Amino acid sequence: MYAAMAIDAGVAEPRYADASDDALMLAYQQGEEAAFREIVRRHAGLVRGLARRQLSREADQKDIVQQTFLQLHRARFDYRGDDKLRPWLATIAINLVKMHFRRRGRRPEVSLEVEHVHERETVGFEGQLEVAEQRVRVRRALAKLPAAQREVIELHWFQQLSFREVSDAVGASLSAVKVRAHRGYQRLRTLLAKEVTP
Amino acid sequence: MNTPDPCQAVREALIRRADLSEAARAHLARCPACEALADDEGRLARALAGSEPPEATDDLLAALGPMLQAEDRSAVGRLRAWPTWARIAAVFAAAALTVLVIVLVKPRPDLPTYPGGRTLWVLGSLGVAALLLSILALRPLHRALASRGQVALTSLAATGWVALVCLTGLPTDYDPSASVFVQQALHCLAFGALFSAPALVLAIKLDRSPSPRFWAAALVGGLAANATLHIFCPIEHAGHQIAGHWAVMALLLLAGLAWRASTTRR
Repeated sequence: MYAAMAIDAGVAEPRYADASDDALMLAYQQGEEAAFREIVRRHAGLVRGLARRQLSREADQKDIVQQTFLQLHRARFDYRGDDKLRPWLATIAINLVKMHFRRRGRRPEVSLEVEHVHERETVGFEGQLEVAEQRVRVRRALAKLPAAQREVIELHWFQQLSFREVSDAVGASLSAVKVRAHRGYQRLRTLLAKEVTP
Repeated sequence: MNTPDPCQAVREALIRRADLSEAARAHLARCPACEALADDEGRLARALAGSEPPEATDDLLAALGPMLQAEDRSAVGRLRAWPTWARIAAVFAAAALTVLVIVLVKPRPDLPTYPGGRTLWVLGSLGVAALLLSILALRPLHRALASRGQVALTSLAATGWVALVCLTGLPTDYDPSASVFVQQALHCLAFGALFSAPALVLAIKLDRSPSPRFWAAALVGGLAANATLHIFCPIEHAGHQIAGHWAVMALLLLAGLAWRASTTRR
């Protein structure tokens, strides 16, 4: 069924390009391989970003991304129409990262490496450098946040989940999540201001 | 896809340096997180927006193909794809079936005269605890993970409760020699380990997570063993029950710890 998956992840599946996540999951439950490819194409960035910001080793990041979609495959019949796919995937990825650290008995880490910059060609070399430096600054500041605040900012800002979805994903109350976000953003702003002002 | 989120509208306006709409301003007053983002003319929002990583187009799908194929080809993989309620029901059914087989094949000699109310109370308590722990053992990863404290508390409460139910109110007229005591305890321990196997193996195999939650599976297996031993063994004494029946759970937990230590080393 999945033998023909070696396709470009950036190309949309024409049949499912406009389908909602719910429709994709329904088709996937019925064995439509193309629906799964579209799900991966649509949400791989979300999972990759999450893994990249939590783990420093590239091999670990890749493993978490693959494991997340494997878990989605295993859990596909748990999906009901009233679920939301993005929070699902974010929760799976976060749980896998937590399990990764539990297995290794280490504290969460944040990658500070400058990643490859694949910006549009209109952005010149200096622009690319600036973008890369900005990313490092943000990552360094994120690394200094307590894990609980970082996790909430990861989901709220980077994965664009609503606070209700974030609270479901991290298993905390809505008000606790909002407080963590507020404190995290304030601290992040202070840290970034310090980085810019020598 | 996503439900419309007022935070999103504020975020986009801050990134674009656009004026905030009435609705966005009203949201700012209610949402401290967005308020923190909007402070300092939204500089933080723009810094975070600039840090979005580019969309990579590597060979993720190519790597996933063989993994999913292998998953679908294996019997365990197909079972793991069952909905969570069905996986939990399967583990519970395995434990119940073990009890039923012993009821039909080799029940304790005094079962016909044994108080039915107590049997129901003991089996019912063990069943509820096993169900609770099966839910913990098979909790899917798209739900938030329980903290270690929550897990420990739930496990202790469930097993503590059934231990209290099973071990209180037992007769005291059991006074074998040490060698007989050990022999009888070992006999029940060996059978208990055997009785625990169906529920234990299913709880491990049906767990979808990359590192199975062996502790919870061990507790489920131990509870299944205790329920079956209640039907199998006529010795109603706390000492025997601790050494022969409840020791099964301890044995399984120790095996789980050893297994985990060996996999962590690898």
